[in-house]
Amino acid sequence: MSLKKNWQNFSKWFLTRPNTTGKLVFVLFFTLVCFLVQFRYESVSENQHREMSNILNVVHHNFEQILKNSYTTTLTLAMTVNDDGIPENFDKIAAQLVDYNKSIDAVQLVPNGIIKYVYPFKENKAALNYNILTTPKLKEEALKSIQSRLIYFAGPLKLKQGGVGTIGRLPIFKKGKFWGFSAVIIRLETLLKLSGIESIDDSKYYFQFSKINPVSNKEDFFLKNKEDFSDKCFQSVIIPDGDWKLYLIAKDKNAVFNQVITSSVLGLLFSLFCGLWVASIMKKPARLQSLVYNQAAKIENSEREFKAIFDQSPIGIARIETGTGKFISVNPEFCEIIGYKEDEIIKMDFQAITHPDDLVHNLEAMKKLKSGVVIAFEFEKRYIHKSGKTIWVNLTVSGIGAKGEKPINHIAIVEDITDKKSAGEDLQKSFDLVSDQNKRLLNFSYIVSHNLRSHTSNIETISHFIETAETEAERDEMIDLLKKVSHSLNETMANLNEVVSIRTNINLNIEHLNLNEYIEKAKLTLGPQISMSEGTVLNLVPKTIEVNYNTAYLESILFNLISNAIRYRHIDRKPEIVISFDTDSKALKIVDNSIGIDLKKNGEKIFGMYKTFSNNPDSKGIGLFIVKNQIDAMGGTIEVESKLHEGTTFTIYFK
Amino acid sequence: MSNKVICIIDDDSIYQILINKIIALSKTECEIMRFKNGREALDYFTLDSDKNLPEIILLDLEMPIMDGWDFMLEIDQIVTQKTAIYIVSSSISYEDREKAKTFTKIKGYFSKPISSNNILEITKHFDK
Repeated sequence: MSLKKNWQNFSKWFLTRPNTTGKLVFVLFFTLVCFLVQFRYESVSENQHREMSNILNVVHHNFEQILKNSYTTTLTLAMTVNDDGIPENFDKIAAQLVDYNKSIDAVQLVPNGIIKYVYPFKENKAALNYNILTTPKLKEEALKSIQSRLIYFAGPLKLKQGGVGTIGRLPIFKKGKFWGFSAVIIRLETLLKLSGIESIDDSKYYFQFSKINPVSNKEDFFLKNKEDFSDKCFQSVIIPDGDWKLYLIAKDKNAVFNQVITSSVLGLLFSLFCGLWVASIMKKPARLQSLVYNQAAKIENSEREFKAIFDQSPIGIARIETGTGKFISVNPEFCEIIGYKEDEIIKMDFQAITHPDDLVHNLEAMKKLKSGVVIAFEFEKRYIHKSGKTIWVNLTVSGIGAKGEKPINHIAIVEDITDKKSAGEDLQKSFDLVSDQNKRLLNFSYIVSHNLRSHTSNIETISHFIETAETEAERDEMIDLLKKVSHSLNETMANLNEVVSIRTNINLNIEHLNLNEYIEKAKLTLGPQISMSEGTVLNLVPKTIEVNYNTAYLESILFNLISNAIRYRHIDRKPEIVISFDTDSKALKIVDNSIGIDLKKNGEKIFGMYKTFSNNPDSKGIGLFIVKNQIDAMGGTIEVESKLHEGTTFTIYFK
Repeated sequence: MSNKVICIIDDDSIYQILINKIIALSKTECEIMRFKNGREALDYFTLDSDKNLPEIILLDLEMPIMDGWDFMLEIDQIVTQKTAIYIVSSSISYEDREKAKTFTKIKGYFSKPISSNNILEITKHFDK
């Protein structure tokens, strides 16, 4: 775990620093390249060294061979000198020796330092009688060989007979006494040719051949390229027989370096390229990585903000499992609204706290959300608070997920609107009350306008006629009319008074009344009318039914409705009235077979005051008006159904 | 020229008596028809609309069976130019007056009590 974490941190460090990583890669590769270059340098320089010493060895070996041949030749030549110091068969033997040894250009015998015998004669005759022991340039070296009694090669030097060559002199002693020299002449060009110096590949190396000048004691160089090579790479070998020094010199002093410089430069470029490449390919991920870190930081931030909103929100928020309705998480305000603690809520589902009357609607909406038909819905509903009271809330539910997807969870946002709701309800109640009263007031003013004014206008007219009456009879007639008017005015006043009293009577005495009993009472009161019309009143109300009602109102309602049914009976048939009670809806039904009312025309007016719909002299248009007012005052409602010529049904709903 | 016919549609029996007297006082030469509500009047008119339609109708608004407004809605279908309708109602309400203006057949609106001068006014207008 911590290893992984360390690795993550490690890689993160690199991923976020592409430039540094690029530099590191460069350094790494460059170190490797340096190491390889050094290795190569060593191997190249060792190769060169080996090659040079090989070449030098070959040449040295050739030299030795030439010198050995020279030695053999001088020795053979020396043999020709007999004990008397006279050479025998010189020409014959010398010819054989020179012909046989390609390395030898000429031989000579030098008794007492004076050249007396030469072969080939023609080319070398110029050297005859040349005393080398007296010639200062030659004396030194000649003496050196006498002293050492060994062969010694003098030169290369300018030959008396022309050209440059080296002379190997073997001192000959006869009877312990110096006789002279047996000498071979090797021309420089022959020496160079046979030693292989000329035949080496001169692209890389060249030879130099030197000798310490015995006179000047300075090193003399005999080959071309006499320039100073001390700063170049060279190898040398000393040939003691001539005190020579043979050098093999690398032409290019930077040859080894040149061999590695290219690979060094290439290596440097390669390292640079690698570093840049790594940096460049890492820049993109680094940018992405930094984007990821930024985004992660943003997410973290918004999560923190969301948490703050969730916790401190003044509205309730809950996350709910859509399939089951179980609460997953709730905020403090949600707990506050429904009165449960958070740990209690998360064991419950929303169904458990929803008011039973709202549950069906709620579940239907959830079904749509579950199936993905809608992604959100909003409505007002009721919760049951832990204390049992009802809480009105405005609920907004939205599924988590895209439209068309079936959400797994959803968010419920809940605002407590109980106070608002009850205020609204109160407002609605008082509005209803006010508008109801207003309507009644209007109605009343209408009644006053129509009904009272019709009387007063009549009175006015009558009084005018009384004033202008010319005869007593005329006046009496008017006074009679006046009496009638006053009577009907009185009646109207009584009706109005009754209506007003229904409405103003707030403290009505309400009792448990047996409905069946009161129907029977009404039947009894209306007995004469019922029997006169040969009608029947069927009371189907169970004897157990009791209603909370004002006695006088119940009597009035039953009396009015039954007497109406008889009054407006159809002439072709006997009145039949059926009274029944529906326990479920608490409704009393009074069904008759009367003439019926055209409700299309008169539906609105049927319960109005002074609305009559027949020519029946008894109809005053007051009965149903009072019935309606009484039922209203008891908090119930009345409905009417009717078909012209078939009958009417009144339904009274009790509170 | 035959006598004009004035038709009174009103459920108030006392008013019926009084209007008779008022018309008599105005000394208008006319015939008087009386109906207790709109339905009765309408039934009579529709028997023979050419012959039975009066020249003048004095119509009350508040009546049983068929009130003045319902009567107006139905008479609109059959009435000809020769019939002038006047509202004579105890109502003094503004709404009723305004409503009366929506019927072109209604030539005038009188609040009770009506006087013989009002009758003269109506008949004089009619003479022209």
